[in-house]
Amino acid sequence: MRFLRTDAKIPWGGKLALALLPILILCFAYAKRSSELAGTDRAKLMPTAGKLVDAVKNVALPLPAPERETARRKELRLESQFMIFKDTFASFKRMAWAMAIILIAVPLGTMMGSYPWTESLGKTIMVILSMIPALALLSILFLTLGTGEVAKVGLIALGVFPLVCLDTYLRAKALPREQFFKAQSLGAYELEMPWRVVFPQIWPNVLNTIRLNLGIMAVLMIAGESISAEAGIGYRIFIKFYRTTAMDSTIVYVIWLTLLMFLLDLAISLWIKHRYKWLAGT
Amino acid sequence: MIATTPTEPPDWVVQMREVEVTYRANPQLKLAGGIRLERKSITIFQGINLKIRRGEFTTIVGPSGCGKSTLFRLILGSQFPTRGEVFVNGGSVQHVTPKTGIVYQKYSLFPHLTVAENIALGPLLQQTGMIESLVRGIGPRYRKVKKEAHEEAFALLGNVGMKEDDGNKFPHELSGGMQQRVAIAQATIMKPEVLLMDEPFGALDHSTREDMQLFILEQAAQNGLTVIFVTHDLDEALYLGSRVIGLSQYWTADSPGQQIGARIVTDRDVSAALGVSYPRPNTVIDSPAFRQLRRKVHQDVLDSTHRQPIADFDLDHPDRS
Repeated sequence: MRFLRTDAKIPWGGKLALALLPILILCFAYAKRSSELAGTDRAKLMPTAGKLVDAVKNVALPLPAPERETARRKELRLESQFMIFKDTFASFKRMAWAMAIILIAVPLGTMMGSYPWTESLGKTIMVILSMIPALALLSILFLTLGTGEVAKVGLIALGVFPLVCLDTYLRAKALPREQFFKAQSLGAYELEMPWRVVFPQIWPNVLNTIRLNLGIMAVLMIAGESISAEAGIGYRIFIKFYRTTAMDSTIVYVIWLTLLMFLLDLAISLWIKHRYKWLAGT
Repeated sequence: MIATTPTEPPDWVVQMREVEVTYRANPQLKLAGGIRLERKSITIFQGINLKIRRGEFTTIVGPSGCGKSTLFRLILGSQFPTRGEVFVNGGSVQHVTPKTGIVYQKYSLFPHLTVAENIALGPLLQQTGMIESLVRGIGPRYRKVKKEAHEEAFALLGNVGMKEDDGNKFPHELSGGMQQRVAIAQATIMKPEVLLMDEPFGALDHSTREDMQLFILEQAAQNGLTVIFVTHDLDEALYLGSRVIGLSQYWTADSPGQQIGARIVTDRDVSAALGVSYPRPNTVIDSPAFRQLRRKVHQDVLDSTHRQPIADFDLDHPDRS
């Protein structure tokens, strides 16, 4: 029973098997239950694996052209072709814009952790802002900013900006003050300190925080899109699939979004590990 | 930032005049005997006068809580006296500047930079501005300065007893002694007027500590450094210092009300006391003269039961006048 000990060394194969185990159990349980329900009136709520594959074909692969097709029908078919990719592109464009805004929180937080005056200026307001549930602002945002992209991007940014700012601030604040004096004794100016001393040390950890907030960003993105949009993952799930009880397509979309977010998360954490090797020692 | 005072001879690297440090504690609500806010003030020391000659290796020793580190911070400029003035190289200390090099017990090195980058940081910071570092991808001068600084750092590695490939390691990959070597190189590359060290070898094991003591003596001689070395270890203070200053709160006042905080109770020219010229061989530590001096300083400075009156203070260093 060595592998149960706290100091167990598990080979990579074992690690992989253990990591896959819960996923496989979930898949198996789903497949079992959905095949039981197949043929009953609740079959639509839990489509079988075969149905899911059909849904994938429908949303992700080119739609087969019928033998005879009017110009109008062809237009419609081409429009709904590759739907999942178009939606993903629309959604992630919003995420990217929001991310660009959220990144402004990093220099702000760095300043707040470095200078007492910026700390006094920004700390309380950021704590208050971070306590506002962003979803509560949803209606206000849509009524004031319109139902366009601005409101949707704004919702994501508002929800995560204060968190990233406060996290950066706390990390900058936690740096030993000796480092500031040391840098000054090496010829650093006051104004250079946040950028040349504080930022490089806290950036990998801040990046980690941003990575952990990706999930919140996705929630806010879907909430925004579910109000009004022309395309987007949230729009498709909440407005299109919900109305037609297209459970199969919904599940495909959810799995797809989860997979993308998982890969993004993995990519960022691998990048941090590769790029900031010194982090292991602190 | 620096106000020059031409009245003093430039020979004094560090000067302190009637320096007092008093902390004001946070107000506390007292309920017993009438509700009131009480704010205590704690005087660490007062009336500290000090002049340190260029090239002197001064060690400051004292019991814990005597304000050794406060004195260190006053000279550094990371803390300011409540009264009195501190001068470094004739200029009043208002700010931490490259005139003072620092070696702390920890946090001297930047964990995100390699050894070579840590050593090269000083020249790089001094020769490049903020805007340049922001747009460094564009500025060819930044890259040139950086390259030169790195070459200088690598050249210095051998000098501090490190191998060429240690230059690309991160500080956490080095032993404690090696880290302090890098920290000393990082500070000395700036050619500071005075090198301030706050318990630099406090976290090291005994044999590494001895190596490092030899190393800092060698570096000081090689670079002609003026060093102020704060330590709680009396042997270290007496072995390293050409001048030893004992700061202590254990003394008796002549009149009541005079007894506030720590004072400089010992200020000795160690070389004269031992009769051995500086730098001294490491066998000196076993000599009777060393033992005798150690016993005397221990009694005066560190022994809390032995409280001497002001008249008996052992202040016979020639620079104290």
